Amino acid sequence: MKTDVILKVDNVTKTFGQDLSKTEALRGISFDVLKGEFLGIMGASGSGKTTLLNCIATMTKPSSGKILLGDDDLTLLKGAKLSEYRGSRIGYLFQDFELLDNMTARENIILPLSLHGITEKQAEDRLRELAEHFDITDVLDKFVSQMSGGQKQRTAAARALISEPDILLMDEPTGALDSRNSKIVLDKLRQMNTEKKSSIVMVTHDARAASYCSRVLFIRDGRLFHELRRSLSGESQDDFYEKIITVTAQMAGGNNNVI
Amino acid sequence: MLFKQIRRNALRSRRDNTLFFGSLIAAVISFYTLLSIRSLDVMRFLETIESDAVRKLMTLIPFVYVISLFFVFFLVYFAYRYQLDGRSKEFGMYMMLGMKRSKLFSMLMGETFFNSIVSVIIGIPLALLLTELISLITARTIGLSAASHHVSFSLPAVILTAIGFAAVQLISMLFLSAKITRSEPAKLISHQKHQQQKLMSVKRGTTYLISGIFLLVFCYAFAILKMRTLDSRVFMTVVITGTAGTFLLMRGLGSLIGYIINNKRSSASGLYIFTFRQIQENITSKNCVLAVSSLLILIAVSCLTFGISTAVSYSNIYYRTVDASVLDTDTEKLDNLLDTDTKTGFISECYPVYLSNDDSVDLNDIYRCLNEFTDIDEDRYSYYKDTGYAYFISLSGFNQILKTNDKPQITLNNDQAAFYTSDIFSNDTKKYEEAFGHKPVIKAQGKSFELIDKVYNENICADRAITLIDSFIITDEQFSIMFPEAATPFCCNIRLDDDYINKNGLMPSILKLDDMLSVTGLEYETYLKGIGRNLFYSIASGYITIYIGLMFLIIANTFIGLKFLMQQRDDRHRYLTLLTLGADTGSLLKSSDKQINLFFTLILSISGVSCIFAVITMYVSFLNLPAGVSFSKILCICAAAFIFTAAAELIYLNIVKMISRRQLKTLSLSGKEA
Repeated sequence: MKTDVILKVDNVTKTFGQDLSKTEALRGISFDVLKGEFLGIMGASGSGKTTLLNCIATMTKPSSGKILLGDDDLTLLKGAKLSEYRGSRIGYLFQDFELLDNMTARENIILPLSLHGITEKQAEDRLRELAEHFDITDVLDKFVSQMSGGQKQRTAAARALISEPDILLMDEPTGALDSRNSKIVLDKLRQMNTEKKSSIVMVTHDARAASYCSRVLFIRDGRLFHELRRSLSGESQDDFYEKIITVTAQMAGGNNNVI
Repeated sequence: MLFKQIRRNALRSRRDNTLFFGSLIAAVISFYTLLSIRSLDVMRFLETIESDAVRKLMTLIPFVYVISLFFVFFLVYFAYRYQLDGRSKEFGMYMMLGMKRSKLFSMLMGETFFNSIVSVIIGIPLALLLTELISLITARTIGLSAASHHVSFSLPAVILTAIGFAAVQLISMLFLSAKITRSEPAKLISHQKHQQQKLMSVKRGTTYLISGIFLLVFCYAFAILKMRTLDSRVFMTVVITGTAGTFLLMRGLGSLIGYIINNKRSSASGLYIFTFRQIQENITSKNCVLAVSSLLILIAVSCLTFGISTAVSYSNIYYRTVDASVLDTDTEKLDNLLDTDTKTGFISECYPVYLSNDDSVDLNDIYRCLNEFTDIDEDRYSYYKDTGYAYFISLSGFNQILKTNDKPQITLNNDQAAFYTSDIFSNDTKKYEEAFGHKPVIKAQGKSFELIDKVYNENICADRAITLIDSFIITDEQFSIMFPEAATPFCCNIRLDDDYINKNGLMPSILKLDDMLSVTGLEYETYLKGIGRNLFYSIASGYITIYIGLMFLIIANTFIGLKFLMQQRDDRHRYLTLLTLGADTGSLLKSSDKQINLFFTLILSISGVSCIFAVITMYVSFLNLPAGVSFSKILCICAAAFIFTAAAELIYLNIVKMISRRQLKTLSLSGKEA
């Protein structure tokens, strides 16, 4: 694997059910994620984008193909190694935050480290740094029910990044937020991506959210359908957004020959 | 089609709710055991000789049954609500697919009815086995021969159990299904199982905690010090402060756990914080249910201890000293009877007991000794100061009583006397003996007797109505000098041959003696009619108290177990998140086991402490230890009740763990897929 490739998805397929009820969610998808890249995956409902993300997150096993994170084939991970991978080598940001609502923000953020034997004391600096970055220092000792939606998602982002994972996976991270909070969360995440070179893969159907990415993959019927790259030479976010909208509209119209 | 659906749903409901279903079967067993009491061998036998006593007990049974049903109703209502909440989405879908409300209602009622039938079908044979066992053990204990054993099946008990049980279930479901069928489908489909985290400030929580502890400490101290007055105001104060203290303590316990979490947080790893937060939430969100459960366990253990102690203590008091006492002065008839039957090996002993009284006895020295050397309340013995009235028993008769009961006989010289009292409930026997160690002297008819330091209380005749509060045993020689007119005995005691009793059973043997005596025209009393009747009442009340205790124990534990499992089911998403964050199933199972252990321990330790004080209160106030029953024996009984409760708790704990593990093992991250 090339040194700048952090994640390699190689000919991954996923089939649910058998015989007549057989559904092919992924039909041989291949792509690479480079270190420090902010990759978006877009597609209509049922296109297979969430299944793809779940395969990378080891929530489900692909029917065939390989997913390499560094040199490790994630499809072969089992037991303790699989648990080690989750929460330490990947961070996962859910649409509905999935914070444990009987714990404080601080306890939620520390949880992935605790699960891997690291105490809050040992992670104090990292916790402070992330809390300041996501602007949640004031709510660290509050319970989930005492926080706003934006604060919840920023807390969830801090939790996903606390263990300094190789890659951050996000499933519709702004799906449960209003536009103002969506912008705050995405700005903070992009900042993390540009300053700390965090590698991010985001599944979304929101073109505005996708415009934060440096590259967007479009999936249709379980296959890679199209790819958009944001030009390094000064392409504005709005221009990139327009491009995404165009592709999305063409996909929705059933056009097989986009650009 | 509907019937198939009902049968399938009922089966699923039983599989998913093993704990509740098990408790329902336990309830059926206990209902039948209570209602079939009349068909026990011992009851059948007693009914032939003591129909009045049995009739009185039988009038009490329906009352106890209704109370049991009342409590079981709450258990069933709570458990069904938990089950139906979990199926809310399913009901919403049925309605959206066009199922009529009436059909949904019929389906739910049908499921309940079906499950009731299954519980009764499983419960009744088990109950029959249990009652057979009880019947055989009790018959053997009181000395009924095995030949008189009858199968204790009672059809009316089966019918009443089935009716009461089904009624409780159907009424609970009637309320709940009416609520569900009135709901909008959208509300049912989007039913939010998880309640928002209840928050309480540390200050408020601590206030609750401290107030709760304060009230409980006050309640314990007040009960121990004042309950002996048996004043209703004292009783009310104890109940109110104890209940309020338990509720406040449960309410404030969450903040104590919060404090532990905050202290440990910086050094905690693994699922430590999660585990404690789960416990904290469980306790904070349902503190009322837990307080009620804790109080129910307290009542259960108190009832068990009270019931077992009553039965054991009374059987100790009413132990058999003589089988019959002939109170008639016509000894010729008795002599005729003995001539014919002693040889047959039926009657082993017949001896006279002489008793008389004097109203000019000087008891002042007893008063002085008790006043000087004991801390007994003066009201209890002040009559020794003023009265001169006392009974005297001749030594030989009393020694016969001791001899036939394999007890050491008394040796007295003509200047000595032994103190006898039937006041067998006195806790003060030991204190009396200590005081008599200082050798007080009584004076009667110009003669002085020095008391020996042993107090006696064996029944002097079979008639329990005859009690002697303060008497003195003196030598036969002195007795004949003091009471020359008492030439005829007070009574003649008859004791049956032990071999005969072992062969034929105690009760039938005494009945035979009763038949023989009744034809002679003598005035007599048998053990069975005198002491045996009281023994029956005591054991019957003990049996019912134990039964109520067991019912409360089942209800409280099912409440606690269901509460935990409900919460865990609602928290399914949390466990899934933990899996995503890198927890493995093993650590989730460990966390869940720890939660269950802590959850039960917290609730049980509160009721445990209250139980200890309740038992102490019972023994220092209204439940006086009978003389001859050692405190260590009572301690053993209490320990047995505690061990029994602990064993029951352990069984429940493991059932809850098993169900919880099963729930967690079904968690799969792939199930999250959209």
